[in-house]
Amino acid sequence: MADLTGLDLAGSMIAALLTIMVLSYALGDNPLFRAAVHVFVGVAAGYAGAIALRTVLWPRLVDPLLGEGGPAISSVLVVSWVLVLLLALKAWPSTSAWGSLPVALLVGVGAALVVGGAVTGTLIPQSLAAMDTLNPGAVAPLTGETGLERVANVLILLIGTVTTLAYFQFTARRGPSGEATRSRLTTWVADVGRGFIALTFGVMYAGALAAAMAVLAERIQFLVGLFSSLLGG
Amino acid sequence: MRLRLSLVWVAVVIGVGLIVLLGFFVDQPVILGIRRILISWAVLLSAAALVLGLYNLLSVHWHKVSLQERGWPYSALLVLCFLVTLTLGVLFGPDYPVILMLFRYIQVPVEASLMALLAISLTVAGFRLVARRRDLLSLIFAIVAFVVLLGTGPWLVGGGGGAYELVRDLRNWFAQVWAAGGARGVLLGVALGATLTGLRVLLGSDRPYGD
Amino acid sequence: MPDVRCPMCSKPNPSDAATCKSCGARLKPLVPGESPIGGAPGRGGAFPPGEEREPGQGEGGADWLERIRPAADEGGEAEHEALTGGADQSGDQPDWLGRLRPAGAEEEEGPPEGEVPDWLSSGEEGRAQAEAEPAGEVPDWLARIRERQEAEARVQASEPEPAPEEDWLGRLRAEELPPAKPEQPPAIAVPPPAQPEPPPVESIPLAMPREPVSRPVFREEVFKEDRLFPAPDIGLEPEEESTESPPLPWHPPGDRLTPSRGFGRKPSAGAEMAGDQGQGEKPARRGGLDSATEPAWLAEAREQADDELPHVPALVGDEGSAPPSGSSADVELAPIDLPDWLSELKGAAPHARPEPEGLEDRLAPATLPSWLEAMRPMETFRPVVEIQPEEEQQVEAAGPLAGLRGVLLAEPVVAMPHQSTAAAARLDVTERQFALGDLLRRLVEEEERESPAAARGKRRLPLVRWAVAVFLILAVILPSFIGGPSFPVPALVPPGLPSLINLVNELPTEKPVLLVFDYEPAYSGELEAVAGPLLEHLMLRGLRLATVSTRPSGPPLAERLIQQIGEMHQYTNGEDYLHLGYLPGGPAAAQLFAQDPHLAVAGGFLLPEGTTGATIWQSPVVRGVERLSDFGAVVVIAAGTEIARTWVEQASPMLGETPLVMVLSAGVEPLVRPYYEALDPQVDAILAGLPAAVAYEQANGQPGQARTLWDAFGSGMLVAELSLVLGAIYGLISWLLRPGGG
Repeated sequence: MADLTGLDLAGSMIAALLTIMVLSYALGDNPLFRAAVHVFVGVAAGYAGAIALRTVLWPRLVDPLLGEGGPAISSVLVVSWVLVLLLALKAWPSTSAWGSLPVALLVGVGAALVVGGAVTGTLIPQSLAAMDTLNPGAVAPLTGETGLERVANVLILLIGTVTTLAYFQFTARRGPSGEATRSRLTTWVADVGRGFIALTFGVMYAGALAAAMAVLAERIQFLVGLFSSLLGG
Repeated sequence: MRLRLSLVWVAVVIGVGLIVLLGFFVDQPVILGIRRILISWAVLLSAAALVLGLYNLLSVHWHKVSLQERGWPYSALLVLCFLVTLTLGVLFGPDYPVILMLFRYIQVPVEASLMALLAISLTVAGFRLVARRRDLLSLIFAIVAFVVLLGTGPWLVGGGGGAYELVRDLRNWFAQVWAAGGARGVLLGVALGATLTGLRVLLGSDRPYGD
Repeated sequence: MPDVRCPMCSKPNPSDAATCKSCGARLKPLVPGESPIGGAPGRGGAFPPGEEREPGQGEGGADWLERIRPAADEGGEAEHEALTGGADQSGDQPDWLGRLRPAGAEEEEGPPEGEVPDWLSSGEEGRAQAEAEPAGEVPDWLARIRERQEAEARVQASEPEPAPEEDWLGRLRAEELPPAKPEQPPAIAVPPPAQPEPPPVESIPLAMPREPVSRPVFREEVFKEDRLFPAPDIGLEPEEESTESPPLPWHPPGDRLTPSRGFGRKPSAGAEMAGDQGQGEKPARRGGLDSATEPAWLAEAREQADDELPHVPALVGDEGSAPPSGSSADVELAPIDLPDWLSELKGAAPHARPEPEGLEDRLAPATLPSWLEAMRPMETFRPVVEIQPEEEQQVEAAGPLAGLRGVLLAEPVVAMPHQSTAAAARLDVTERQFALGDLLRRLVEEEERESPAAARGKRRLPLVRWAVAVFLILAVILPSFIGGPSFPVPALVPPGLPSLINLVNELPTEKPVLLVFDYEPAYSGELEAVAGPLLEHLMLRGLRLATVSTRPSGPPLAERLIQQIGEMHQYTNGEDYLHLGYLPGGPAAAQLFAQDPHLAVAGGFLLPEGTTGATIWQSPVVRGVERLSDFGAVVVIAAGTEIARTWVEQASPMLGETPLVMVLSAGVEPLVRPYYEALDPQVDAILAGLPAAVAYEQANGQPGQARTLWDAFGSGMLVAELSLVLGAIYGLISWLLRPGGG
């Protein structure tokens, strides 16, 4: 462990204390945990505000005026100012209606980006990727698989994709008894899709547990290392 | 008057959305230029919205402290830390060493510790799942999770043996084939839902921006 | 000249009119000494100057008085003459006010200006005190007033008794006197059936008290300054012989009138008046004017009333009777024909009461018509009015004023229960409606009912969580303390790792590599360990690094990791790496940066000296970069599926030949893998999880943080796997041992 300077040592001790306060939640909710979380939220929120103000808003809105002055005043800059000020009026209920324009702009841009990205970045490429050839002679570029092994894998991928999509299909017809039921084929396909989803979630659960375990190991090692350095001198 | 204003907002959303959406499919300099400006305004407004959200956070906790509601000391602590960090960050910049120390010795350890608690919670959740639930889907879930855990983590003994290789291959097969199929289906479903939601907004059916 | 609106009926009148054409109310105040201008006898000058009213003619407005007037005029000519005197003091206009005062009567005297006797200001006690004062202490002005009253009383006592049926006002005055002889007949007698009946109580809209109104004892000084509202004598005749209060003319027969409350009138007032003037004398008229000081017109009106009582029909007409008419609010008594029931009441009017003891010095009370009293300024309505002693006042028994004395009785007039004359609207309710209503009622009752607090059971200790936490922490601590257990480094290389290593090996060195730090500090423990060997590899190749983030915490995390890894390779900020800063907006930021990196970046983070946001792209690290494809590679370090998908969707179309590498948390890999496993993959390489990082470090030949965490990670994973196994065993055993067999 490298020598710790005074400030680093003090900071490390604070970090260790906070780590212990948060880990105490394993025993149950307690004031130490709440205090640590509130401190964290305050610092995180303050930092986020500072970085947004200093690295985004100030350079875009104020620096052009301070640097170039009048020539910097363009229509884009003026509209930027107007939009930001209108959005600021959202803070108070009495003036909240004035902030609808910038919010509408945000929503319009965001919705369009989501739609365009989903269509061009996921729907089309993933649909094309699912339509992999079932030719046994083809070779998988990434894994080098070929033959039946590859065909089986392609089929599993295809079945998994289709059945998972079918599981999220909730269109049903009203039967003679009045209950809404799906067709038998759809129900069977959806059940298979549920199995694939359960399998996928199992893999995701294991991955999340592994990630959390790595973080736990890092935190415990930090505590051990700090105490060792303190005890060791 | 209110009805006319809401139509204006709808028109703004549709107009802006159409231009941005067109940029995905049309390589027209004029459209791309306008699109670039609109997206830059959106980035700027996102930063302003972040600051607005922080103001709301401050006002909520300030109100709590003012009225001395239940848990107000924690809110006071939050407000204090927020104001100190924000003031220092705005005055000296977010890359100021003191601010970086606050980030490094407060934000990072607390967040990491919260994530570390997740390991305990996930382990307990797994234990309870296999102990109580006895249906096919839970069985599939538990078995796959166990196999992937075995294949992901190191083995204390027999780490280089055939069993380890078998488990690792099985883990890779589950994760890269079976789970990939399900994941692709989930991704397609998510993309379809996002497309539908976005189109509803662009067509004015949904108006999350208010009237 | 603009029209003048009548204060009573709000009808417009010429500006020079003295009385209202519609109702006859005075538009201009009378000055004492002036005669009523063109007015009918006793009406206080209801007619404008020069306007003589023909008998029987009305001006509209109060029709009931109009109708009274013709009949009254016919029989009242003589009275009119008597009142007006044939020639008034002002020539053509009768000096009704002047005639109220006896000829040669002095101006009303009162106490000197500003002097208010003690008995006047102190109320009841003061009056009692005043009565007890010896005669020598009575002020001169009061003595003179009393003398005049006595003289008038003597004159009146010598006059013939007025016809009973016309002396209703006299009975009014006498009503205020307390009944000195309880054995006296009731004040109200049942009228003969042939006579029109007064309206029933139920139909009377006004809440008139049934009790006789006590006459207030107005002190003369009250009216000394009251030029606007003189107290005309409307012909009330005292009933010297009656011991009970005379009934009001609109009271139905058979009701016994008792002294009213709240109006400050005492039944004894009339007796006091009678006493003031001596036995057999008529009570003093209203306004506290004695015979010596009252206007001539008032005296004449009274005299006329004695001879021929005016007929004042009820405000609400009797059944079958014509509604009262009249254009003037002034009550004209002389020509009024009283209804028979009223005459019956008059017949049963109490006789003059004997003067109560100690009341000789009281001034004669006077009653004013309600309209006049309403117009009286409040300051003139001093508490001189005799208010019934508290103990004599009845206590309100019902309503919100229950328990109070001296208030208007709500019962029996207002709150008299009576059967509605209209047929009650019956509501037809069906069974279904009733059931629904009952359901609603029960729902509301349930809402109001407080639900009992849930019994707090014994709080179960989270033993499983405690045990798991203890074992996990112990397992992770052990390798650090005792150096073991030591887990072997994985021999099997993840399938995608070799391709990643080759990709990095083939990156052009003249192009910088873009590192996107899009993860939260929570994942810094894992992702710093996973991304470390990749950064190490990049630094080993000497590639320039530019960092950007769509998270506020991204730039400091980037600085932290690069500082940690670059220390060994002596990477310098501004020469080997550069922080482009924070881009807010998520997908918008990624799209903007992908389209135009220069426009997206406004201000960097931890910029070296001499570099600003405007000149950041002139830095040697990113010189020559105009678009996203100008980077050698784009490495996205993400811990969430959403951000990884965002960069894939927004940036991959702009990448061209630039490879996209994903460094992911272990839990995110399954959902990003479909982008990688495709014929035309959008993601060129994936590095996910600690095992892949350890393998990478081995490939680099440089042990890093991943290896440091490997043993603790392995121990923790072992405990997690054991917990699953134990949970399955526990579940199996509990299932086998459950009641009902396995």
